[in-house]
Amino acid sequence: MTRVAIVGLGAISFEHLTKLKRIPGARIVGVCDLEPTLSAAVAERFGLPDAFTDYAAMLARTRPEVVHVLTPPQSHLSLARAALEAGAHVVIEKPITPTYEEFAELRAVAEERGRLMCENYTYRFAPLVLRALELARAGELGDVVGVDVSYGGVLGREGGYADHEVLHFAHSLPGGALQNFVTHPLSVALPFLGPVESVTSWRRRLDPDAIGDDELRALLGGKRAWATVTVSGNARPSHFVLRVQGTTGAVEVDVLAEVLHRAEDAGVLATATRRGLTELGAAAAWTGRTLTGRRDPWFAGLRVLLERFYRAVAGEGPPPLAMEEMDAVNAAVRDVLGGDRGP
Amino acid sequence: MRVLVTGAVGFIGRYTVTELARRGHEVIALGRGTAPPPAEFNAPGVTVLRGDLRKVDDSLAERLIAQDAIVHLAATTTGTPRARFEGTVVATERMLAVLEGASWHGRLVHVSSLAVYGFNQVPRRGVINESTPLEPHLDRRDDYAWTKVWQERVIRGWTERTGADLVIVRPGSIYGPERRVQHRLGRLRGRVLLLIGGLTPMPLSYVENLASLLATCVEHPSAAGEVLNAIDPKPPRQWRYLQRLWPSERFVILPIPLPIYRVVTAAYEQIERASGGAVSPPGFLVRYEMTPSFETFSYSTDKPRALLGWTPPVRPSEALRRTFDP
Repeated sequence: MTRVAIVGLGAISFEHLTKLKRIPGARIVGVCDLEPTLSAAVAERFGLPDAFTDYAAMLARTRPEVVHVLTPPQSHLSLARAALEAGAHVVIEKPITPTYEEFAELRAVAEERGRLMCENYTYRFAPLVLRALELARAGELGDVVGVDVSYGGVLGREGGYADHEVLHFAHSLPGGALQNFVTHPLSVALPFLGPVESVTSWRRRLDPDAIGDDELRALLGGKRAWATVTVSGNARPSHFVLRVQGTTGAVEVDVLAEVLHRAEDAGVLATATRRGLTELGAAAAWTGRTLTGRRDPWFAGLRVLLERFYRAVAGEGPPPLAMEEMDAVNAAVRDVLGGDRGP
Repeated sequence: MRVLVTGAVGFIGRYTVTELARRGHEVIALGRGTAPPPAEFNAPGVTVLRGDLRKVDDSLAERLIAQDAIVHLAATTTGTPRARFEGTVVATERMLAVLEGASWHGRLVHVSSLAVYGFNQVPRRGVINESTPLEPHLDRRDDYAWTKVWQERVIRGWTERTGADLVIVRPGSIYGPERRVQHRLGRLRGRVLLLIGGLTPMPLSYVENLASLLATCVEHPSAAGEVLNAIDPKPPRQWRYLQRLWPSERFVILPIPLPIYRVVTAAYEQIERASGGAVSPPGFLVRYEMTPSFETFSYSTDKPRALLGWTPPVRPSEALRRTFDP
């Protein structure tokens, strides 16, 4: 039984808690938040033993083997470091830290302590994104020449980004609120792209009521392919789509609709039929998942990521994310957000 | 009396402010946001105050402790569980901390909800009244019940510590011209209404009646320390309400008879248990969570009359007319 502790009981903590309840080897031994009433209420709601407001006390008393750091990013470095130094592995929400330098510091501590560290790349582990990656790695698309990832409908009013009275933590990030989202499309694009050789990016604020920039476009050059990354606060409906283009075929993934299409040279009728059947199949699967409570397009990747992470903790498999991959993503985040403003 | 209404720019708040002002009280209407206040607030005796209970500043604190009574309607009912908890429970704690620090001796009229009751522990067609025990298994109810139960806990803690004057009002589903669609009818997906049941009586509270009761709770000495359910007499069956609602909404109605709904939800409950949670029902088919909205209970509506001599000023037929044929 792996002892797990959670610090930070914001929106995402509910997702981690429900996923952890379904991981047989994980046992939640404590939750911690600065708000005492919230801490007690969440502990009661999830049937957990101990609610803390003092993080150090929680580490000392519950001696967790894994700590989920789910607070706003500004506190990730100190909280994760304390967990690593107490001997725990860490799962950290994205963005892992506000700056690349802080990530590098954390990486050094984890490597020195021989502990696992994992940034939550929910979409990177979405089942159909993994399938697309399988296809690309198996050579089914030929040579990959292009990757396009579009993440739209973020920064909506529902997420509290428009609240002028209690500012969302994202607005205090060095890259602004966009930094709270750009990790996702970059973490999905980079495995197809390989090492990044050049980055160009643009950002602007389209909605006059938005607090800060709400549109981002980036172009990343790899050895043999280019990636385009879009983060749009204004595009509707909300979407997360991936298109990977190779020399013999392409694959399109609509992560939220949970559909994957393959495009190959084929006649119009064959292509249309194939697309139609794929859509019908996806709709049937969607219905089945809805009726069995398993439809979870936004966080299915989190479940996969955590299952693999806990297997790695138990020594039964490799870590889901290598340090090098997280390093490349965080360097790309830094480079993309440092780009030009304006049209 | 000097009365402050929190959540004053919301649906219930506006009617409450208006009613209190009509009765001659000096009303402060507290609300978040920057939208212009409703026209009714231009009435004499009403002052609009912008503020957020999540962060009470000194000037808001001063105004709070100067009141004879506070009617507490402020809540966050949308967004993430944390946002709702912070906007509802933590905001209440912040307000109470100010009152406690100043040893405030006014009256707090707290607007809670029927949602706090433990409906699953009451037999079908059983009585729901002010002594019905509260929900014992919050982990099985929705976010709304979670925040409202915790809000009451936090307020009771404050009352126990300070001996303050507290009245708790638990309204049924509140309706009026600005809120006509009711979740007690079923589930609405686009233009399709899944009508769950059809014959089940709905414990409703017409907004003007609720505002009147809240004003009486501010004024009446016998309200001190009491809990009052605010439900209009003769709860209408769902189809009767839907009959009035349909002409303006024109949903496509898919009725699910209650016996079938009960069988399906019970079956899902068994399957979920047997599969160790691998299979779980979609939200609207979770029996424990849906029982409070769709099962039949016998609601007692008489305590406000018996205790305070208060009767709803607007009769149900007139309330429906004002809501649907203004």
